[in-house]
Amino acid sequence: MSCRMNGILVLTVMLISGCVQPKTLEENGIMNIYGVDIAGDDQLKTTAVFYKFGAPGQDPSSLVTGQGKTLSKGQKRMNYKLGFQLQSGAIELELFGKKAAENGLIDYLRAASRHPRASNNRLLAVSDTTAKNLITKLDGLPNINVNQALPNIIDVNSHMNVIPEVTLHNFQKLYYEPGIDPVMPILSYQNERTRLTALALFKGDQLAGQIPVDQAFYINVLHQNIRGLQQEVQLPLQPLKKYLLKEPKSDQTDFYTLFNIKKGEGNIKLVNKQNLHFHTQLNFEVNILELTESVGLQKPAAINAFEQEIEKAIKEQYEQLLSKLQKWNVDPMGYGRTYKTQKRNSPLTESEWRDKFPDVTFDVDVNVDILDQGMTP
Amino acid sequence: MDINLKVKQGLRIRAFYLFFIMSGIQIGVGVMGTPKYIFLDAQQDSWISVLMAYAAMLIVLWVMLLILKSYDNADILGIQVDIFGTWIGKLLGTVYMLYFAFVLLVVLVTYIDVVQLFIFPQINTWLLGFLLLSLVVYCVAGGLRSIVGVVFLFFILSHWLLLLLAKPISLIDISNYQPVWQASMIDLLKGAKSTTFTFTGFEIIFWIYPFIRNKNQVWRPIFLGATWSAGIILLNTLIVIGYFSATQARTIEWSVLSLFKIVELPFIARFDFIVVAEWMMITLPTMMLLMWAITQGMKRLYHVPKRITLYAAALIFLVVCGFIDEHHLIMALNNQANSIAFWIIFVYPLALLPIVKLKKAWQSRSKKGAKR
Repeated sequence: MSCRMNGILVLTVMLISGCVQPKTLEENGIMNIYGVDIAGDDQLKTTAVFYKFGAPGQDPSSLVTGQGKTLSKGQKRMNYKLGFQLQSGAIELELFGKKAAENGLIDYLRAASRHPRASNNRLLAVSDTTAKNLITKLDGLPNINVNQALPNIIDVNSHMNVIPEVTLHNFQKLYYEPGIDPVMPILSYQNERTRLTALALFKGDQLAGQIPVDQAFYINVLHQNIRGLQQEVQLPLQPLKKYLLKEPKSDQTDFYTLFNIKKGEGNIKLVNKQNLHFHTQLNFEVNILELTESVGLQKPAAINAFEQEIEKAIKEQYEQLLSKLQKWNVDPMGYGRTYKTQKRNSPLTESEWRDKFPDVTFDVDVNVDILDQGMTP
Repeated sequence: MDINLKVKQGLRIRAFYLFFIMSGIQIGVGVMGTPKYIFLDAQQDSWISVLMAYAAMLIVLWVMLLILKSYDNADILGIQVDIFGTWIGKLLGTVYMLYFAFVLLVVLVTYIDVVQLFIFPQINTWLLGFLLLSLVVYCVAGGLRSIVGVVFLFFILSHWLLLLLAKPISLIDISNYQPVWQASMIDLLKGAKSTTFTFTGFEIIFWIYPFIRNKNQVWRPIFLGATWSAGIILLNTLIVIGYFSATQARTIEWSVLSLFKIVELPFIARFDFIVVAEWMMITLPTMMLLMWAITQGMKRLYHVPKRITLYAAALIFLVVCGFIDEHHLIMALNNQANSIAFWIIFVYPLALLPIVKLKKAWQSRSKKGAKR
């Protein structure tokens, strides 16, 4: 290579390596879990679980708390306590206290996503008490890696389709879109473990209600196709009595069945634009996994009857859920979004849908196909 | 000044490379943030505005080729001198050149701003300007053939970024595009006008035409190059409309770069750092072609040797770019360049064509008269 070429390369390398602000991994704390709570008088409490690499043999993960009127002030306090900077670009989970969620989350989310270097993929969740409480209790347990335990619960459950995956991006997207409301998982600390106990429903950015986790799939099925979700349903024994293979175990009138939803999809159609009547179609292809009473499913008639009972049960639960949603005036399934796609001349606004949603009427049609019921009768 | 250029055979390039030149100069910094500006006018029908701007661009390209084919081997500078006379022709040529210099400055400071925002907040503006300009100087000093070679290579080396868009595409929401045809014609046209700044760059055809070896095959690579860049802009606009909600699409500044934020691979957690760095390969061809046009213009109009223009212009840009580091100022410059570009690139060739045709008709008539 010529002298000139060498000179240019050397100069470039010197400039590039010398003139950029360095951020050494060992000198910074990498935040993994971030908790936001409201304390009294407009103060925010922040809790962070972070990794600090460097000293060998030491557990890299630790916890710190801070307080301030803004999130940045809280983070600054945490930096002062620690003596090094905490970096927020790798936050995996952002946890909010219940009170903070009831107050409204959009300011925190906007603060989080304002910066281009913020991670848009971070998971969001609500703690049923305060975020600090949940994180510190879990951190206090031996043999628990907080950094993995908390995001894992949400990750695993969203991959199993139990709950929809809620990230910073899609929460904001659903919040800003009129006609659909965002949701968030609720984590609680029970018996020395953190559990996913409910799904929080938001009206705008404020927590408005919650539904148990096993009903979360009614919302999930309308957002995406569900593949591989196990669901338990309570069915009445009477219509299926003639297919019983042996006497019922007790005098109970109901029994339970556990099935695997191989493929579940949901559709919403606006049937009547003037009266706002929606038709919801839910289609499930299931494999029966377990029954608490021995109902023989080998005959086609038995399968048909079983399918009808499951359809009735799901339809009833779904309609109960819808009336709860109308009472709270939240629309996590997106009925308003369907209306918006057919509304011409003026776009649907948030306030317009809030006025209309409590008076909307629905009809639900559930179709269940039992693909197989296993090898035993 | 010669109206028709005499270009040595060894310096000519094949028409095939026009595809890469067209795409290379059109896909630049504009692509990163344009969907927001189109969305402000046309909302969920922005993709229709992009298609309208594409149609307008094809018409203007065809008109440009008609103008160029009326002469033996002239570029726009020669044509302007021929039509308007020496003084006005040179003045118009100087205006064209200054426009290129302005666009080059805007591209440079916009890219530096994006790097400072996304990757290195503390980095010195002058340093980045120096690095980029030294690359541009190094390549332009090699002449048109080395520039076209770089454009060709960087085109191929940078298009893998499109594959990363698979993740945002999987998260698109179809209801974001509905109801279709809601925007009025005026809004769609306004959106189309906002798209034009992203499409600018094809005026380089006016300058490069004399250097093409096989001029009879010029239309196909130009058409394909324009379609390719329009396709990429259309794809980006469609993904931004589908991936973001309406309020987000209206407010997020660098929407296309934000699309890459959720891309995660096992070996790299956040791809947007890589994308912004890779974007240099998309910006450099634009800057190089513009710098070449400036040196070419100075040589043709004022007989200043290319080397002197190159180093002097690079020094001036380096000094000026250091003072432009405020985001609002950069956005204001972008808007200004957008307004000027619309007139120079879209309106001017349409106005020039009848004048050229008239002149040619008058010339052939007077020749016939002289023959008799």
